[in-house]
Amino acid sequence: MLKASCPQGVLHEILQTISRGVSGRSTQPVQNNIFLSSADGNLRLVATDLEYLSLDTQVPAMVTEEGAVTIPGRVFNEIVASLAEEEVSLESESPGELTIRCAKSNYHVRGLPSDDFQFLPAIEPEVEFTLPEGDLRKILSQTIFACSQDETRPILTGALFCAKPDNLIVVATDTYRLALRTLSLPLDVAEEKKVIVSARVLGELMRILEEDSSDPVSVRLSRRLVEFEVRNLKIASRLIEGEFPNYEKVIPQDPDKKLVLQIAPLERVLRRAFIVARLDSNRVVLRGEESLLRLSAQAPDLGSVEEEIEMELTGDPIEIAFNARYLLDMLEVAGGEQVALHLAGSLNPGTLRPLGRDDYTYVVMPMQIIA
Amino acid sequence: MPTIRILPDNLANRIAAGEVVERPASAVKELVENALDAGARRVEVRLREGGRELIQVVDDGCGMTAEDLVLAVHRFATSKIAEAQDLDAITTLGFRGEALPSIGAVARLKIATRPVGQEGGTAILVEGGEITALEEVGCAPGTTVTISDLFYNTPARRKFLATTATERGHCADWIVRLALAYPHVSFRLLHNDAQVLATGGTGDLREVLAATFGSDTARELLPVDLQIGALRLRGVVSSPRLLRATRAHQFFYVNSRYVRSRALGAALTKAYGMLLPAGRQPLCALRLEIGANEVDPNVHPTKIEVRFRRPGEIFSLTERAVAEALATAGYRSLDRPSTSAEPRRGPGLLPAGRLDLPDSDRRGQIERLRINPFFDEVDERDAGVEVHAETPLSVATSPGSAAVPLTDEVALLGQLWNRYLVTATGDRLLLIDQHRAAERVLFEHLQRKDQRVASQLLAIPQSLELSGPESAALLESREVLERLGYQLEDFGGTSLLIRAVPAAVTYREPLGMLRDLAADLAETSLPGELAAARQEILARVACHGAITAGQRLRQAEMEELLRALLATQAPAVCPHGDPIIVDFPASQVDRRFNR
Ligand SMILES: Nc1ncnc2c1ncn2[C@@H]1O[C@H](COP(=O)(O)OP(=O)(O)O)[C@@H](O)[C@H]1O
Ligand SMILES: [Mg+2]
Ligand SMILES: [Zn+2]
Repeated sequence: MLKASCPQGVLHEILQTISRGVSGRSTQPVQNNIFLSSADGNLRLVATDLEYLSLDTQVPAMVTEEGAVTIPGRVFNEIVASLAEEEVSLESESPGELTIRCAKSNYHVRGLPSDDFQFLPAIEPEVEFTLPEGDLRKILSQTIFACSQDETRPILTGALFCAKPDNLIVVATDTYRLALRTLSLPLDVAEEKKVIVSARVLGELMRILEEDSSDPVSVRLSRRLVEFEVRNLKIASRLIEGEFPNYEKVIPQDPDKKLVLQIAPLERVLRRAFIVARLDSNRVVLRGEESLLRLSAQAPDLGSVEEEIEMELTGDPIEIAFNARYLLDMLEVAGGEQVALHLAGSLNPGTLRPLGRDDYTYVVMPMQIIA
Repeated sequence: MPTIRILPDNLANRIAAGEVVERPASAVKELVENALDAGARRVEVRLREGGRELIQVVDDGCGMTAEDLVLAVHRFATSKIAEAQDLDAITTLGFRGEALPSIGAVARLKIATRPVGQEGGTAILVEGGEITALEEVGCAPGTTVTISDLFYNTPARRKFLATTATERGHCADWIVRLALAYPHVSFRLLHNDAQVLATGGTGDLREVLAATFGSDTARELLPVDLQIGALRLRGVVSSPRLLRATRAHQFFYVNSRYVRSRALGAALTKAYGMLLPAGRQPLCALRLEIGANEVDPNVHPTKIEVRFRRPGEIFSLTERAVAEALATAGYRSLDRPSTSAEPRRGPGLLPAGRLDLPDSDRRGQIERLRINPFFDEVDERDAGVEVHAETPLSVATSPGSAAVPLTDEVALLGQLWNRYLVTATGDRLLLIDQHRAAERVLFEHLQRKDQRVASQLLAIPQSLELSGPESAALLESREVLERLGYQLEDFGGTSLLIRAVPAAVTYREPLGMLRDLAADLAETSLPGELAAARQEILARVACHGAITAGQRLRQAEMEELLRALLATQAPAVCPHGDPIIVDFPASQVDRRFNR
């Protein structure tokens, strides 16, 4: 029977993470619980929906007896959060039950026996590589917002990971826009490997990854599964099966107009225009001539807005409409001071890139007005 | 090769008679069935202009001798039944011997045929019901039937044919139905020389479905196979992740015959139980294997309807077979006792019906209300009524309660049963139907003439695999849809390519919406007048684009919806004229408490 203890702070922190893996909607009640076990000087906590998310972690603890139990996730998390900052002792005296003691508190929680708890199958990696935590976080933050929410097109609800011997490419698209990020680094892979990873698991991963850390994150890929391991946490998921659209075809080859814009002022004017655009499907119209870009939006019941911003234009004057949200999504994570917006006709896609960089490409489709 | 006999009169009269050829699709059906009855392994169908100009069916079946060929075009000439007893044990698709003569009466019919193992072939020409030519020809073993100028001598019927796209769609539908019944046969359909459909004849039902509805669909299909006594049900059903707005994609077969059966459809729906959200239907291709004398297909001239001798057994077999298939894949409706088949894994899907959570996790978020004992008309699904409110629900309208004052007058109290917003004004309690409210808001938005509609172009055009009538229905409404911001293109076959969607619905699964709209338009026709048709399409777009009943809403979503509803011109009635708001005056509530 499980018997162990560890400091409240440690347990609290880990539960914050793990309890996010509890689906709460599984048809098997035990899967809505957190699996908790004690062995080898560690507490192990696992939560999984058996589909798109599995979180598995270990923390050092005083283990007096080895054993396991499953506990309703949210309750467990709430209890631990409310305890005093002292040693928490966990003890399971009969299967499916857990006593939590800390200072003068004494909780008795009914869970379910651990025998029925199912895990995602262990991964047998075909490809494995590591990359720095901060870099992975950055790549994800620049791409996964473009994943589709539309469950009827499952393939687009994930991001494409393409691992090559000397770089990693991540692509996400909801068909309205497409974000593509390349990270050049030697990956220890023999040949190209492509998988589609659910945006849901990538979102969870992003929360966990720290911006300025260069700790290694291990990425393991098999035919059906993906696993990321960072510090003491393993986060795994089933891959989305299917063929990701040919993203290379989406990137315009030779747009003839180029606008160079300051990111911060552009973001500001877009935000202001958005107040109005919001009521008209987020539509902002961009008109550029010589060194001035005019942005305008109008909403039938509210009124209209016009903004101006300086830019450098190469090529003919332009007029094109975009969903302001889609532009802001990219500008917020672009990094750097300036972006280049490449355009062709008013019904052709626009391409945004941080100025002078070719490792981040964002293609956004225009909006058309039906008269 | 069986020989053809003319049925004696009394037997001929016992066979339900009727018009066999109503439109190109009925001729296609009859000819392909003949090819299948002749043991063909490959069937190719070529159409021109929806079948109006040309229908040609080429098979590699057993063929006919010259003598049989002449008999075949006679009324009630069939090789398939000879005596009355045979009627009770029909195993072929045809048996009335009236298809070829009926076709010969309304079109120019040419048949070239060569029996297997015979040197040469024979060709016959029938016009206006008369044989006008008969000659020896060289041809490959098998039979080629060519129908040109359908209804050339009955202009009234010709006039009633629908658009090319619609007729083509109906033809494609029959090929799909037959291809699903004969997965071992390879089918090919060409329209104006372009390939519409091709199946490999591998014997795998999923392959046929993938060829028809796209590989995404095939991925979500679960195998069904259950035998009880002499009855066996086999095929595939869709997982609860793949649902449609109508029953159009439910294919039932008795032995190899495509049938329509309310009973089988009802058994299917019952097996899904609460896994099906309101207004959604699974896809299926299910084949009931049953002794030929247990069914009587001789009911309806087009032979689609069947009568079972023991309908009860068939209902329960179907229900059980499907429920077990779902359970094996980890889907179990909560209103269903567990069966022997244990789930392999829980796919983390929330059943659409009531979920009675024993889990104390949710307490604090969900307030349970007791059902009013005076209300007896309670849907049993609603046992354990839940009210969702971010703030604890207090049914009090006095200021200072937890209610959110929305405008000066209307306060939002919460969501009831995932389908109503509970609100209150000074002296009345209002229940608002969330779907209809959203429908009204969207309808007015779409309808505004002063509003220039914005269309969002797609970086990756999306293909939409539809049934024949569905794609035809969308193509016919294309002008209206394009004014709404959709851009569709005929992708050949029955699929469409979508290049743009209305910007107003980009966040609301615009393709799923279009698919539902297609099913809807294919089932019920639109008013003839253009302006009325446009209104109707708008109403249906609004319906399919709106929040559905059964959807849990966040506080902000409820507030937004309520605000938008109150700003519409007619917040109380939905575009179809149904009520959106039902109200209970305080006086009425008081009365119930005997105040
Ligand atoms: N494609 C074919 N291959 C071989 N025989 C055929 C073919 N089409 C029709 N026949 C013969 O012609 C007969 C008459 O066909 P039909 O008028 O459709 O009546 P039924 O199918 O009800 O017998 C059939 O019974 C069959 O013997
Ligand atoms: Mg026939
Ligand atoms: Zn509706």
